Amino acid sequence: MSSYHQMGHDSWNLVTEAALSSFGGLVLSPVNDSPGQVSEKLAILGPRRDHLDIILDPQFYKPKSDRGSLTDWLHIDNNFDTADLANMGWWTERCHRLAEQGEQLGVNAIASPAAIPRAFDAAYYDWVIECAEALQSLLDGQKTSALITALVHVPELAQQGTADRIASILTRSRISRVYLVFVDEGAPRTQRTDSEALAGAMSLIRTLESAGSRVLLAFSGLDMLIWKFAGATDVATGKFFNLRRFVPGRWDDPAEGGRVLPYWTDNDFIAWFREEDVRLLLRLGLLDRKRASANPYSREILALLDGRSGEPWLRLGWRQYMYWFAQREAEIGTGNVDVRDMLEHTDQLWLDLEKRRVRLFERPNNGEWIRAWLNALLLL
Amino acid sequence: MSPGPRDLADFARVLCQQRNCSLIRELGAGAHKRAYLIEKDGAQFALKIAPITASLKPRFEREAAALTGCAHPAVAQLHEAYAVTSGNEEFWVSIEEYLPGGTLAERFAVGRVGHSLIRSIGLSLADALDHLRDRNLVHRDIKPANILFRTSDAVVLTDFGIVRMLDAPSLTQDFLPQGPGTPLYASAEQLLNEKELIDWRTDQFCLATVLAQGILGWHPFAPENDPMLAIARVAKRQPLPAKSRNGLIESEFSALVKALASWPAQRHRFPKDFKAALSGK
Repeated sequence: MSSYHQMGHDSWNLVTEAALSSFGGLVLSPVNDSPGQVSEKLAILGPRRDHLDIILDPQFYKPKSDRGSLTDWLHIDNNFDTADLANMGWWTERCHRLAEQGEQLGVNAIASPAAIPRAFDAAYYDWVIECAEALQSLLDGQKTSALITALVHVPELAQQGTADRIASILTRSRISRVYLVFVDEGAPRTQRTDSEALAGAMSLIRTLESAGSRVLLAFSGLDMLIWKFAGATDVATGKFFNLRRFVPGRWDDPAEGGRVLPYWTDNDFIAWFREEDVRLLLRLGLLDRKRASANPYSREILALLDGRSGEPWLRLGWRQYMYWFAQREAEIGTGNVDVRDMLEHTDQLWLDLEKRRVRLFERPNNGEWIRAWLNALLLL
Repeated sequence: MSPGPRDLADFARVLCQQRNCSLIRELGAGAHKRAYLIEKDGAQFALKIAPITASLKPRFEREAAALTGCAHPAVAQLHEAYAVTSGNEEFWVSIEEYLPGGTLAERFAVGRVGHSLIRSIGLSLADALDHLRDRNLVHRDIKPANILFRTSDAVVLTDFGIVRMLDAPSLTQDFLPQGPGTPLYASAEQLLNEKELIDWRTDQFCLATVLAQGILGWHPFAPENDPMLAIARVAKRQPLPAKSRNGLIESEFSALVKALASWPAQRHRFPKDFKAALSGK
């Protein structure tokens, strides 16, 4: 059971951050770094490298626009735009190149190539398995293993039987690890609130795990709590996932820029707050300073806010979130935290906020997802 | 016994003369084939003959191809298979191992089969399913009538007429409401023609249904002994009735409860898991 860094733009410094050492692995992003850069960064990790499960995600689902460093990688070439993506031979060739690339980098595992389909139907998941098996067959006998990359459209999971159907196809494979990517069209910082779809997503995780698959839930955020409740062994997140999650257009957003604001990850409210809201809640005595300070980065942020220096704390916000993620993942994994109890407690906090007529800066920040998550737990 | 195709004894005699064999007697008839016991050089074989139609030929060819690639003690041995023309008509002819011990259906008909023999049958056939899975084959029609005995306790899986080769295009039409298989022993994915869900776990369900019937004395999905009710419950993916579930657990066959799950993902994932659970290890 582990948390994984979902590597993004300029994320390597987080890997070596001492307070974030409980992350057990990395999911490499070819969009953000060339193979040479990745190789260099891995070498710099030194002995820490030996304790990390390093997975290469080829990211074929990246949209057609700005490709970042993708084209520096062996598995992407100039014929990508004109290739017949329905031709398994083309994908098998990608697998060959991926296997070669993986060996050069010395990664532990490679997530199978997976495109975003027009329809998330049985034919797509058959193809997913075929592609993953093709990759695994190239890796047989090597130290590197394959993960099945499965993109799943969350809204469709509301329909009864969809999760079981997908799980039935995915568990046909001999490959025991699944890199699960939940796809939807949600806006940044909004949480999923369709209880039935969430219950379907959790059911998918639970069924896969019960069938002996080890699930790595990619691109997760605060919702990691319910994925862990469902039984996901591993969960991945990145510093930007306090801002957005996996949507088909996610790479079209600027990776970094002046409009990126710092967000406070609150363990009690299970929410991301802007600075104005943190100050408001502190003044109202609704944010427990002592409890929050168990997170070393929260402590630093509070000190900055108290000093009113105006010093930016974006970087601290990322770290605060990453620390929260890894700590919570570990606590749930070891059974020290009951997710349902935690959510019920949080629901009460939001209720209190409402009773006191507190209006947070961002309107969608109303805690309604907590009820949806609790209901999803009930429906599971 | 099914009426099957018309009497082909005269043609069987001709074939025997050509092959220097003796025709002993008719063994029976299936939906498409008639079977005869023949003897050559003191050894007995089953000669099966079927009139060929355009739709059946690919199935006969697949069956032959599937069996030719198999070598397992619990899978029927195929010695020869070929098409032959007689007059204006084409026939499919196969010469298979003769299995003198009768069918499991016959044994069920005369009384219950002991639990230890059921377990032994289950383990042999689960091992056969493992063998088939390695070859990307799904039998799709496991039922008591297709489980024969070579000796008093050595079972053999026969009749690969609707075998599915997972690495070849499906011969089943998508528009059909129900896929191939005997409905009483079929899984939900067969009954609903969900081709994408057909794999070795489909055979696991069918085998588990047969074994559970042997243990319980009724179809596991219909303790009321109503076959139509059983089929309807399976097709609706209803859970195993409590009476059957408890009966299997009390009889120390809880491995079958999992094998009878409505979705493949909820069954034993690999044959080795099924075998281990069935053997109590």
